Amino acid sequence: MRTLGVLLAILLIAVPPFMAEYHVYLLSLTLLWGIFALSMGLVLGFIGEINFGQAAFVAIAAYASSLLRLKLGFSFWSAAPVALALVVGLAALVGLITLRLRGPFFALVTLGFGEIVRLIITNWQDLTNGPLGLRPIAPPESLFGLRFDSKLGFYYLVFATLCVSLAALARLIRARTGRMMIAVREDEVLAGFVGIPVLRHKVIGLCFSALVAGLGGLLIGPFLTLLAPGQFDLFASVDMVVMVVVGGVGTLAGPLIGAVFLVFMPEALSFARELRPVMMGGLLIIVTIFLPGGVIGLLRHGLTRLSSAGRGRLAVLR
Amino acid sequence: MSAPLLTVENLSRHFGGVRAVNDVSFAVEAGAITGLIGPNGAGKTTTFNLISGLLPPTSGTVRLDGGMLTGLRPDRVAAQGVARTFQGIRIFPALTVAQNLRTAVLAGMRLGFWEDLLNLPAAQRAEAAATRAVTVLLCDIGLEDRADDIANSLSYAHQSLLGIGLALAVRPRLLLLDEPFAGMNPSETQQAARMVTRIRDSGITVVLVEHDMPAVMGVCDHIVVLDQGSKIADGTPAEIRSDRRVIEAYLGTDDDA
Amino acid sequence: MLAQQLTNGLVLGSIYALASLGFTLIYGAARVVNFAYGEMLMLGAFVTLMVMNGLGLEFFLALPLAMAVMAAASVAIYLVIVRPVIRRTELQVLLVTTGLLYVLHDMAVTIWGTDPRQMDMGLDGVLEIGDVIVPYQRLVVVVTMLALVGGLYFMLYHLRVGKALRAVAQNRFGAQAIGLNVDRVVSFAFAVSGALACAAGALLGALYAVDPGMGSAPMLKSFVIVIFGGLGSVPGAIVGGLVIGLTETLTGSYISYGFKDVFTFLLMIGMLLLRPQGLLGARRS
Ligand SMILES: Nc1ncnc2c1ncn2[C@@H]1O[C@H](COP(=O)(O)OP(=O)(O)O)[C@@H](O)[C@H]1O
Ligand SMILES: [Mg+2]
Repeated sequence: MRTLGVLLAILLIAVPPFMAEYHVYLLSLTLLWGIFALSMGLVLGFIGEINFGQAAFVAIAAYASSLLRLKLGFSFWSAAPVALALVVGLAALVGLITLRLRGPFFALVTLGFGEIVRLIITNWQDLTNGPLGLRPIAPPESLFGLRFDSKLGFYYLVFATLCVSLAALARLIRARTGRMMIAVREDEVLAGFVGIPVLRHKVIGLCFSALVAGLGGLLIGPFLTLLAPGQFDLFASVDMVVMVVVGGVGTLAGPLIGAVFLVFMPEALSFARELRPVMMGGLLIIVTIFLPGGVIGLLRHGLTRLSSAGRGRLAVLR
Repeated sequence: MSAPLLTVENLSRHFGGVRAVNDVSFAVEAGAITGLIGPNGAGKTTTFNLISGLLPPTSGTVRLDGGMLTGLRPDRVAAQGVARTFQGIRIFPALTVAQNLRTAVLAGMRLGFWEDLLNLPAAQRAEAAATRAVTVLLCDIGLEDRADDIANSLSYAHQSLLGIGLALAVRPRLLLLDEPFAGMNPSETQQAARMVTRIRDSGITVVLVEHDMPAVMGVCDHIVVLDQGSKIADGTPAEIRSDRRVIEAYLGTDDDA
Repeated sequence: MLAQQLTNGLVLGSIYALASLGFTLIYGAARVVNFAYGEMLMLGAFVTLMVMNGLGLEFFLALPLAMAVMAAASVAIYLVIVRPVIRRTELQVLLVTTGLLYVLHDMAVTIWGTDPRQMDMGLDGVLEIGDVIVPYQRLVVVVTMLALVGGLYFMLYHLRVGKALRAVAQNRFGAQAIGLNVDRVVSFAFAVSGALACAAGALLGALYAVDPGMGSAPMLKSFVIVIFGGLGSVPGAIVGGLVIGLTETLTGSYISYGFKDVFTFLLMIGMLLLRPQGLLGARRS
């Protein structure tokens, strides 16, 4: 698994300079979705909740950093920490309000939160230019002699962000904090009695998730050169959910596989574009019912175990 | 008589009209095994839930060594040195036996957030200490050769032992066991009972819930009897055995399974 | 002016309450959060429209037929996609109903296109009391809401199946222990929920327009309403609907129209902080 990852990373560094610009763009898009899926994967797989407001976290980071650049003359790099702090702070607030409650409150409230954020962006026209959107958003300024104003340069920035996010989350789930999070996901009552502060660990998980979503959000403005509220609707969050579930809930590789599957494949093959939503929804239902371990589960357990995996709980993966 | 480790005073919990626990008071001696017995529905589990912070009481207080437990969150109660098991077993089913124990051991360790996240030397020391603690615990509960089995795949008796192991991992002063012998055959029960005695001898105070009287008579130093939410007797096993109200309570409900 | 606003708010609240009833009913009975509930409203509106056009029926004759169709569709949804995961984690139930949201929405777009269609209730004119004006159409919505609520209460408290439903909602295991077929009761709850969704959707469609996007706004309102009123509580949905309808109308006309949803959202957050079980919800232990 690890050697495979290293091999893949080398390919992702070495090959793009020889690729057509459109393909580099496509690859950046895929990796960007990979970052978003990764952030959702933490919520789904390690807190056991759905965050329908994930796109709002992305939007807040994107808008905050872009507004700081456009209106107050910040550089991309100085705006980034401010935007990220804002997103993480909001995530902590949302988490503290909803995650202490048992039941589907988190999913319901984040859905409302997502819509409210979109509504505010749409209606606060003096600041955000409303539905018409903010433009043009310039590429990040060069840093340490590295330039990001070409498709390729920007691709490497996306790639680096993905690697940093992945490394951070990999460390998180191996650290004590991560294992406490897994225990809380498995059985929060028992977790409390062995001495784990349940709410604290859920909120930490959500903050990390928001941090990663925010990192992706910093990039989306320069990537699209335009920010508009329509980009951050409910379906953007659900797309992330589908990626995680298809790839494999409760793993780090799963969301990335899901992102490749759902962004790169249809775009590259450009088939059935109008059927994409049905495909996404259908996949979500079918995979959840018959293959709760996703692609990763399939790879790990082999096709022979398919039937039992569909019915039972996939032990470690779930 | 030394000062009691646990003091329960006028504890009540009502669910709507049901008085699950009704004005119950008792004390638990340090270093002893106290039995909390009574027929099904007597309020034993609810009493544990009140002591351990799962439920807030309707009224009354619980003190540990003079400090107030009432109103504390479960993880705070655990931090005070109170651990419990659950009737019908509660473990982390998808983790291995060793991972189960490791989780509980790590939960109790002092380690800064960033030290842990950045894997600083303190974190590495904690992990090493956890590994040692898990080895000892595996030995204590007799599951050494099951360390890498998924908890879900264990037999019921072994899962019950793992439940006790999780509680021991908290390094409790007070251990609350809720029907630990349920679902065990006689030889498993005997083994587990010996383990409970060993736990007491290692200095941990134990409160043991059972509705099966004979199983606990031999193990307990002291017994509290509940019936329909109220305490009906409190004394040594010999006193309890000859108590008229206890006999009535048990004869009246012979349908326990 | 204020009287008119209050009236508008109450009418709006009735619509919201109606749109939330089926959602909260299923949650109460089966702990299922149906994220596709808004799309079922939309589907109900289209089915009503199709029955009207196909059989040449008046709105109020077509509606019961459409409600039966949607009840059946709702049961099918339960059997095919919800039941397989209902005994697994809560997360998986959320996932399948979220998938359903996508599927229903996109199906509707593919079949019917995105153009809004008019649906005629066959009622014109307005009722005037003093300076307060209420179109008959809206009055009908309030009356229908009251009738459906009355019917629902009759079912829950006087019919055997309704009593069984309440028993399951209160204590699933207890209900099982006394020999109730929980699966059948939950199927029934889905049927009722589907019928209610159809009624709410058809009325909304008649007041505004029928289009594939019409479900998302009421769905969001429903969430706010049921959390405010108490998840799973039928009276909570009614009171919540009225409170949210009033809040929205009043803040919308006196403070800021564009941000009216922000106020109701804040109201919901306030409730979560002060009384997480909601206004009329039972506390879960
Ligand atoms: N969460 C609860 N909600 C409502 N009633 C409860 C709850 N927990 C326990 N009870 C009731 O309280 C009484 C005592 O139950 P319990 O403490 O479990 O008894 P025991 O453990 O002695 O068998 C029973 O009548 C039970 O039905
Ligand atoms: Mg009990």
